[in-house]
Amino acid sequence: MPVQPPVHQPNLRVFRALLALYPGDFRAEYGREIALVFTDRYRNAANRMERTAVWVEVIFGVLTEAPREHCHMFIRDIRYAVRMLRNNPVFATTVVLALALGIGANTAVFSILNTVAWRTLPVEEPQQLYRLRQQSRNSGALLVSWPEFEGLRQGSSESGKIAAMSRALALVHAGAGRFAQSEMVGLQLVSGEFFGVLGVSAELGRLLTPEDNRIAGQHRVAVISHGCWQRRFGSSPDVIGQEIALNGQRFTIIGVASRGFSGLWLETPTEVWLPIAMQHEIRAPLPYSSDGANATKPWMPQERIRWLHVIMRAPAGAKAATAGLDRVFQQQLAQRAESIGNAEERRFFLERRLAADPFGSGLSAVRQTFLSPLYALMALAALVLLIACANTANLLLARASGRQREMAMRMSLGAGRGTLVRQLLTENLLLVSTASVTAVLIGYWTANALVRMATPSAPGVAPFTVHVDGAVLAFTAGLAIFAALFFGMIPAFKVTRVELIEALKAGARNISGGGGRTPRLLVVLQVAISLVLVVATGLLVRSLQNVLSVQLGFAREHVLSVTIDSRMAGYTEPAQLHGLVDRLLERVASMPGVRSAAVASCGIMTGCRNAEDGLKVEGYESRPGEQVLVVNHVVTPGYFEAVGMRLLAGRGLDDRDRQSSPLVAVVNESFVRRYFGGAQPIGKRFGSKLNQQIVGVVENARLLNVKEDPEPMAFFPLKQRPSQVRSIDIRAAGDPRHIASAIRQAIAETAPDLPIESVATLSERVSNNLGLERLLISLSAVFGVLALGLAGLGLFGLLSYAVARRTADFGIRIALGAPQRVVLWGVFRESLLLSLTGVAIGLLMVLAGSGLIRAVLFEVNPLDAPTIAMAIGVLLVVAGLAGLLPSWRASRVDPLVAIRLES
Amino acid sequence: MQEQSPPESFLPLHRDTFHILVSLADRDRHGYSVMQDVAERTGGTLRLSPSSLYASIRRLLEQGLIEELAERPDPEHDDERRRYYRLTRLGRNVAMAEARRLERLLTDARATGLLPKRS
Repeated sequence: MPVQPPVHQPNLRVFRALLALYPGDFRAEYGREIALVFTDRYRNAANRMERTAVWVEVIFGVLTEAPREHCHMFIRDIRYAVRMLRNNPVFATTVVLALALGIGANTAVFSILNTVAWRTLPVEEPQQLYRLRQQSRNSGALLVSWPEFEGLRQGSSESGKIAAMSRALALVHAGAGRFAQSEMVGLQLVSGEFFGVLGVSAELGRLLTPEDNRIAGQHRVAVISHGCWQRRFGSSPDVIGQEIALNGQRFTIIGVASRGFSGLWLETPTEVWLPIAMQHEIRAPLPYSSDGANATKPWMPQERIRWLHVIMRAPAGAKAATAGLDRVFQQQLAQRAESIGNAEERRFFLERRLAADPFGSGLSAVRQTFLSPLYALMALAALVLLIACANTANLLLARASGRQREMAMRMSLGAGRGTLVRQLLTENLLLVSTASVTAVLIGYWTANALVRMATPSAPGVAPFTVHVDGAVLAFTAGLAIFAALFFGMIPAFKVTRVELIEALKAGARNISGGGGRTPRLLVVLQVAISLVLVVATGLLVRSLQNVLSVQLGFAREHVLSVTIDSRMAGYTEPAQLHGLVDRLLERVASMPGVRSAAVASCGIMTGCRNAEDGLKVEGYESRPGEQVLVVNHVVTPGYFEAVGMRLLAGRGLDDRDRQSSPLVAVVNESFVRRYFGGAQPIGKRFGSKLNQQIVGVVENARLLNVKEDPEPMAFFPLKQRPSQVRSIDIRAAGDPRHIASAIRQAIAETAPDLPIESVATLSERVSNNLGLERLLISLSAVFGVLALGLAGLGLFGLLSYAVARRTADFGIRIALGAPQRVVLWGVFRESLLLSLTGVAIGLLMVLAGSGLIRAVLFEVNPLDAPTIAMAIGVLLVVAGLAGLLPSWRASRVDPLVAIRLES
Repeated sequence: MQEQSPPESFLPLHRDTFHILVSLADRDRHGYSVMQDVAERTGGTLRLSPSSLYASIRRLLEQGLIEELAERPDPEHDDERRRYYRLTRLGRNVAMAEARRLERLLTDARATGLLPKRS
């Protein structure tokens, strides 16, 4: 009898675990067969070595084949989804559009936030950067003179290196190289430590060092930005050693800063950096605070002219690094305090301490004004997305219930529920990814259009561009996944949970959906959110109305305002300046269509503001530490008439006020209210030497900003206080735009070297100043309309679907004699009920969200009753319209058709 | 009904695919039988693993080159019920087209003297 060899059995449990790596479908189809073949191979193996080889072979095979099968499955699902969607183009387009708008709105707002709020400076370890601040009762960024900075620098250590820089970006005229004549570039004056502290390296040549900043007026060297090098010098390597003319002064280019670093201001790139020592030569308009110093002499050696900010790099944190600096600061304070007579004031002065604020994200005026509006907009955009998702979910649900028969059929043919869910989710994924790509495009385009619209610079030129970067893409992808999973999951599970027999038996009719609880909830949610958005739009519109009707205190009609710069053209000597101004006014005033003209040290709503601090006012006891502050305007006679400011008491400034006559000033209402408690101020004196006599009072005028109450202001005659003039204001007989080009030409002929920066009417200046309001309103109006449309569509879809589903029902009722209006009212009541529930929930949301929008409103209560009532009205009208057609259709059902459907 | 692609559009065939088609040319077989046949014909140099075998089978079924028959026991083996596969008309045409392609290659190799001419 032949001896049977022993039969070896493989460990099938291990093998089955291995098979789990395959997609479920493949496993269900071939798992058993593969196991059989494997068992055969194993049994037929001759010895232990061969049996091991069989195991190795099978493990290797599964590990390589399983991912391929998954891939294959995914491609098949996608193909299937594409086919399904192509068969329903209206459905697919609606969903993609709704989602693209919802996601796009969010991408737009997010990308602006990303650019404005969260971007850090492109330097090494930006979180180690700080800007010094003085801490006292009125705290602010530390402003120092150059000698004071030198003192602080001695007190600095390795743990906190410091650098000084001018606190504003100056726009200067550039020539030579590839500069067109009279092109404006952004310039900052910096100390030699600046680039070292920031950790910026040179792309070419070298950067400024402390050696380049020793003696005032002696260092004619400049560093340019990478962008400037590319644009204006064509990235030429020969740029080093070339000359560049800035405000008519020649500087030698010694280096190009590394790519990507374009200064500390987000909105305006810095193109040139000069040593602080060159302040006087460059003649750039820079803000300063003077304490009896002579601002017409070079600032660098003067201890009493403070114009520099101090930045610091402190790798181990600001606290330790600031301590050493504070010791020096205290010594400086003690020295300065000696001149303060009032003991209490001196004590208060000495209470100041040094502190440091994080500076890693640089400077941005836009960030300051935009941050809270942007957060409000982000919330509104999120609501729009919620509506879009709810809408999509409802569409999917409606479609899903229409597909129950298909699903039942496929399940009965053996498709697993998992497979069906997976395929439905793939369809959603496809919809959402198409929507997301569209959304990124919408978002990118909208964001930049919005920035252009909202910022008051030259029309059409954005101060910064919003980029789509990794963060924006990740955000959009995150939203898309949220949308696809959360709102796609409900219908996917719902549709596959079908009773096979029921669904197949139900024939052409559907067994559920349309009128179910989930779709109703989703419609209620949409109505509620729409209410919030419509209320927000209404409030913002009211806010704009208030802003527009605010008493400006000057005439915005009929005035043309020309921005010039006398200092840049070299008119610094009083005689020169008066000559220029007289020539200009004589020429302009004699032109046809001009009623009157005047010159001022600041143009209205141009952002120009000269303030003087530490004043004395006759009869006014300042509290210790109080800033006795006045905003100065130097003007020529006839200024008040030209810009339409009203004189309330005394006289205006006129030709009597000459260099030799007593020094006079006209003040505004705020000045009188604050320093004289509203009492009669005519004849009183003020000024650092109490030598300016008040001769008149003018009505408050919002010369700087539409929304802010005017500060105390004083107007001085130019003859008595020669200073840089920045504006010519011309009162026209008719439309000032008609004389604009003639005026421009006249100025150019009278003073060919005088740069004209802009020519605009005052109403244009005012409207530019309201860019932010306009942005908010347009955006929230777009969101509101979008939300209303989507909610209306949602309600309409839901009711239409419910009506279609109950056609037979209505038919029978009509056949049994129910009047049409009863049927109509029955359906309409349902839509009304849903809308009212939505409105009630929406009101609660409005209550909860009122805090968020308060910050961006101007003199409007966030719970303004008329606005809310109007919003409810609009919403109910839309809801009514959406409900009307389906109700009407229900009442017109033909009983015969309905009964045929039933059989 | 999908339009049938011409046999040439499938060429050249993957090595495993061609061997599976060849082994199904003379009779219907189940998976393990295909595997054994391929190993035998290639003298053991080509051993399909169970996983790659069924991945190929799945592909061939989808392309319509083979078809699945009802399960039946294999009396030569262990009498377990197994799935049998058969070449379709298209599958046969594709396999023949591939064989001809290989034959032409062989002829070319002989004509250029790369291989000795057949005596």
